[in-house]
Amino acid sequence: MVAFLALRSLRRSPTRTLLLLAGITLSGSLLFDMTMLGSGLVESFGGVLGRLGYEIRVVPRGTLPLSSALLVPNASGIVGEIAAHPDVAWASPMIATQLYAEAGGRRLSVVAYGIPSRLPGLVRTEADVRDGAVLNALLARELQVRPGERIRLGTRLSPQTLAPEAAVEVRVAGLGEFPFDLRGQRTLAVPLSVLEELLGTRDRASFLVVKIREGADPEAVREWVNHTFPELEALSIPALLQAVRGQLRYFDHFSVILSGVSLVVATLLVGTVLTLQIGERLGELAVLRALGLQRTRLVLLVLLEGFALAAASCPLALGIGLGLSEPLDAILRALPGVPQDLRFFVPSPQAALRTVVLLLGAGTLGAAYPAWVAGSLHLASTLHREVQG
Amino acid sequence: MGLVAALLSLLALPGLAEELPTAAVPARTADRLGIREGDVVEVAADPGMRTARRVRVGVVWSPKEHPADVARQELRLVLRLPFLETLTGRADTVDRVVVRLREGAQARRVREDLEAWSVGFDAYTAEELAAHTSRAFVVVSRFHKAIALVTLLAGGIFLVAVTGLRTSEMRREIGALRLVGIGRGTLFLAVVGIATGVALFGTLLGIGVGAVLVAAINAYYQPLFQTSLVFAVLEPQTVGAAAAFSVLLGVLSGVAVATRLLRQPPLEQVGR
Repeated sequence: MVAFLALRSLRRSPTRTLLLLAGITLSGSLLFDMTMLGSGLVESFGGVLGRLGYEIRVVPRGTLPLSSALLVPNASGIVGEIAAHPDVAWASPMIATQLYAEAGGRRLSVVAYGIPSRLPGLVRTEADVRDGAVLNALLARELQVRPGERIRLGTRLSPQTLAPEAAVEVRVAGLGEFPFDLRGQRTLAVPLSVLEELLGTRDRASFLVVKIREGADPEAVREWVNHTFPELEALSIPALLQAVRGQLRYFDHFSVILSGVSLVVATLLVGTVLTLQIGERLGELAVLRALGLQRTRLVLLVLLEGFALAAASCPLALGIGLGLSEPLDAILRALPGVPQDLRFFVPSPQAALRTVVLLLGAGTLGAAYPAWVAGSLHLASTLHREVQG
Repeated sequence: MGLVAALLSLLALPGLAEELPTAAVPARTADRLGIREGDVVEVAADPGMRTARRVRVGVVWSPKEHPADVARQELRLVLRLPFLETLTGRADTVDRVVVRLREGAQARRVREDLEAWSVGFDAYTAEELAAHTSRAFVVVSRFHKAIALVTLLAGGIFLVAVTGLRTSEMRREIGALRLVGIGRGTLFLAVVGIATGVALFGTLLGIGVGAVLVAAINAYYQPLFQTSLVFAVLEPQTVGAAAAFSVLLGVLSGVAVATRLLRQPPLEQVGR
């Protein structure tokens, strides 16, 4: 009965109801986008980290992987100790550095990874890194090289001769995609031993990577590494996400503020329009009361109208939000320093559910004041006023 | 704690004539580390502090801040180049070289000449570097504009609904006024005027709320990032655009409601 009356009331003025639905839908789509933004980048980053094939990276204390030129000394000794831990499947050093790559008279600065052979997740390629260098597409294009050809890798340039002080020639094993490539970044991966020899940094590493045995707790290993090697810091995926979350505070706050604004707009919209509508329907509500409709059911009727408006907006709000998230993501991914594989807006069932719950709450909350007005209606005086006109 | 970035400087720093090498420390770093001018600190290029050297804090100063640095919260020290070379073991190696041009020289041409050497470095003019470092803010500004467009649309619908409902409530009064002989044109203008007034009043309230929010955002973020940079600004063009948009919507909704009201017979409007 109450549901029937609520729907009938909303159908009575279609233009007004459509306008209300449009407003709530737009607010809801913004809310969905902001919910995706709030968790998207961290989720996306976590997804990429999870596919790399190891759970813990060990860095010089106070730094993050690839963020500093500091090296881990005595890398092989530390790797040996970590690998001996019963929960560790394997551990390995990794080197990331800037080099020069030369081919056909062209010399370009590149980001070079020296990676252990058992770490396939760091580069998506059909080639085998053990066979030589895996180049990203941009580097291969700019150097104009193809798989099977040879390139020269060099370290710092001599101020006198302008030639690299140390160089090594490697075969291009194939092309690959690197999950943390920045826009316009030229990247290659070579076997760790090649880079160690070229740089003369045997026994030093940019960071160490640790694979945990199945069923073991990465957090326990992380704590053990932090306790055993006080000058180093072990970062599990959650710990790394926590560290990165601090640097992404702007997007967290932005999404919270915009979510709040869209909820306030939706609540005010429902509240204002239903309040004005109640003013026009006082006579009708008084008649319903006179016919025996309980006060609580009258309140429920108005609350249900707010809830129904929000519920009807939900599918369209989610659809528009999803559609809007693509161009918004494209805008933000143009930020410098953002790896190409990362996404700012990641749709998820949790984000959709949160949006629906918040929107339904906003619709019902918006109807609270008009419901109170309807509930506190004085029957006799209202009917008298309506009859008087 | 990692001293992630150390800037090199060849400038003469006050207090360099001490027996220990000196460092210039930005105020934010000094606050975080709890150090003052004259204090002696240890710096090293390895996390175990095995190669640590002692330096005296020569000066604590407040450098001009770049918005890009604020979110990173890095700690910085400025050391003399030879000392840093020794500390890091990177003799005759620098991250960047700055070039001061002679009066009248064309920066772009010098940059092209340097790039033509093709020895493996990139050269930028000051303008190019400024454009490059501010790119993040250009992107964020574009994102804000896209979000503002969606918010304006939602706000616009809200405005149209409210002004429409408010003026629809005048149905009886309009009917009565028409019955006593007030012209349609006068009533049309009155309804449009009321809708515009509601929109203007809402705009003024909105500007007030916006000003409070701007103050709140700055009051929250400035201490959070320990900076004097301004995070939110209420610009005249923003106020102008918001006012123009809401007045336009007010006028349009007023016209729509007035047209609909004046199409109904006056007797029907007064309920007869």
